[in-house]
Amino acid sequence: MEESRKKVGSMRVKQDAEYIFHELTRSICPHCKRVIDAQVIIRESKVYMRKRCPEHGWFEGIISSDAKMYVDSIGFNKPGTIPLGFSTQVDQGCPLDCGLCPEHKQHVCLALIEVNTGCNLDCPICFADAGAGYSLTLEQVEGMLDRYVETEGNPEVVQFSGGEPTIHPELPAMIQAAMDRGIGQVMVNTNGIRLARDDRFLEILARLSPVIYFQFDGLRRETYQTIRGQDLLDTKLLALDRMADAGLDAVLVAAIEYDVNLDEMGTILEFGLNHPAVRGVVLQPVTHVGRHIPFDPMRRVTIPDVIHGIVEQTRGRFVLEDFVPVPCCFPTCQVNSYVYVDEEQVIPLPRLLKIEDYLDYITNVALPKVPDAPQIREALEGLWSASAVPGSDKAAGEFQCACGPGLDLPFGIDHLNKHIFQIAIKDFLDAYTFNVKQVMKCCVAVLVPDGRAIPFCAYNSVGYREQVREELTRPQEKARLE
Amino acid sequence: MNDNPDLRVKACCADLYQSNLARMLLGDSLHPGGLQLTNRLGRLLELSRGSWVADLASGQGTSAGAIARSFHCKVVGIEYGLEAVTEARQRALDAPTPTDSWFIQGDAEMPPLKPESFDAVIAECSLSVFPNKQLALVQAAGLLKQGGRLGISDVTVEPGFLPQQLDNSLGQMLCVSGALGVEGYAQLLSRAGLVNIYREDVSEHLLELLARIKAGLAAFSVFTGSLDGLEQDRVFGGLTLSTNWGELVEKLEQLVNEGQMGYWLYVGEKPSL
Repeated sequence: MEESRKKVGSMRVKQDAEYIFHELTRSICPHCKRVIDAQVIIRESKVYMRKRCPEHGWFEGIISSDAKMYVDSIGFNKPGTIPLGFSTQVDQGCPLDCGLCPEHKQHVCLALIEVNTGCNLDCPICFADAGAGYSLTLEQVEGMLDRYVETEGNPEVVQFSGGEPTIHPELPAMIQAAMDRGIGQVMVNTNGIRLARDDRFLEILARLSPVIYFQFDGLRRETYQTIRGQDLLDTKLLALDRMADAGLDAVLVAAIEYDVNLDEMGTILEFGLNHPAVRGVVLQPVTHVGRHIPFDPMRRVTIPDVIHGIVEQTRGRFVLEDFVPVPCCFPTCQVNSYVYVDEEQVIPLPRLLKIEDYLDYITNVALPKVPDAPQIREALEGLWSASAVPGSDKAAGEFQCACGPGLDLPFGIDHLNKHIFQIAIKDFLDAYTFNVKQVMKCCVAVLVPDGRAIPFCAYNSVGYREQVREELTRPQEKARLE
Repeated sequence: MNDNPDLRVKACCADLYQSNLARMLLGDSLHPGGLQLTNRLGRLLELSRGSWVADLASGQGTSAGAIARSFHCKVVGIEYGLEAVTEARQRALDAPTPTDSWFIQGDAEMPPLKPESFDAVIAECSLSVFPNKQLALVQAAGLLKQGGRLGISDVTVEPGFLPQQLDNSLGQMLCVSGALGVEGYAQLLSRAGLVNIYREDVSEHLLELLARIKAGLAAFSVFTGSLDGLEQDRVFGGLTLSTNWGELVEKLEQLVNEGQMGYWLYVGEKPSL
């Protein structure tokens, strides 16, 4: 009797949950990809997504290692811009109607064209799962660019990717085709092997002068061994020096992973700041889609890990406040900073003016009472955008406008082009972190020959990539057999 | 030297567009909207594979090349400045794609081309600087086959609104000295015998260009400050920069915002008999 009373008594003491329920959203099952409800919860100052598939059970993964940063970023969300045209209808609901469907909340800031699936490397980590598959024709790419112009009116950026786009024999003609249509900036996403080895190709590219989105994971040989399957460091350094000689601008793009190169971000940044070809660095936590090394969804790199890492590894050069969420996409997707670099000094733009006064749209209804405040906001929106391309006249002009009052820059656009440096941190979604809310306002899209523009993370996680690859590969294989 | 004032203007304009100053301030494509608007005009003209197109005042061939490659058509560019013609030919050769374009030095008001043989004629931001606009348009219409289309893009200034100070090289560079009002161009197209006249307001591109010029001017004054007079002459072909250009550009921005100045596209069709 005594025993049972004690038991009942303990059951009647209410306990607090071990987490804060932040919100309910929708995600996908990491196994079957079906759309399921998902809870975003905060536990011990970290943010997690937990969800249940009726068939495959419960899943949980970390989405941000700093709950304060995550929650504070929410205000950096600006109204979307409606594109001139949509390519699909609303039918099954997000993310199954891409795209873009009329319920999408943002136009395309940056379009990707994956010109092939083939590659001259075979990396253990590759979100695109490069290998056998298709190779687009120039005519297909022209059709995609025309459709992009139709839906956007004045497309800002197109990035050619793959596979490895530089092994496509018609890549220069494709770059020319994008430029002929007046697309503001053209980028080429490459591992740089061909730039390191092929003089003629380097010369052709230098004449067209696209910005090179250059995969560069670190300065340790082991890093390349792990991520790329071979020691590519010397090739990477050679490619960069050759780009500098040829006058090509590069952005270093590093895939960041625990136990591989999370401790190398400061080195990458310092290296980039000092290399004549480099105009910016993009740090991307490894996306666990396509090919990746085994991972624990509870221990993955998130945006705050990168920011904290940079602050620690650069020994005081940067502070947490130098990194500001990007408001054109969903604000938890990307963080940017800009610095003015001179021989002696490295000045982060957020030290010169309070960016949040201009880009926190929800908390700050009124703009600061300074002359030209609307123009400053416009310039900052240009810089804090997925379409901002370092090394471009546009970015230099915006930098000049934004810091006009704070920094007396006696130089013109040409000078700034070479002296402003962009740092971007982009966290792409995988099946554990997939959040429909983010995908719905995504402004990075993969263009498909049938005219669709599919938000990048939906393309990678929901199954679109596999469908498109299958559709494009089949006719080419058939043609080969005939 | 040529004593005909009209020809002097043409030669001067051609020189101006070839100058480093113009290139520095305006960028590669010397008209508002750049190749985006060229592409838009090509769509309005319904250019398609194999169309024959004449580009009047084709400059360094940027638009002609882009149109030839984007629409897979054949473009003949007429340009008064010989250096620009040479440059245009070289660019077509340098392009990674074979470009069906030919460049001829000549007077766009008397194009040395076969009448009634083109599917389309374009004049981007050039009609406003032609001394005899009506003659130029009649000639252009003459080049068209029946059912062919003429497309122009140009700066508009409503009569009486041009600031006095713009009667200088900046004014010419911006094509405003001889610009007509929005109705003026439509009437010219009608008088040249064209029908189904379509127009589109694309003035936002003029505002973008003015913003770029403002930024360029700031850079320019720093740059010229570091050169002596002789050097400046060599680099900028004797063109000098007036200190009040910055104010002028702001005045122009105001006119655009008030609708007294703008940038428009027009398309007219040659009737089939």
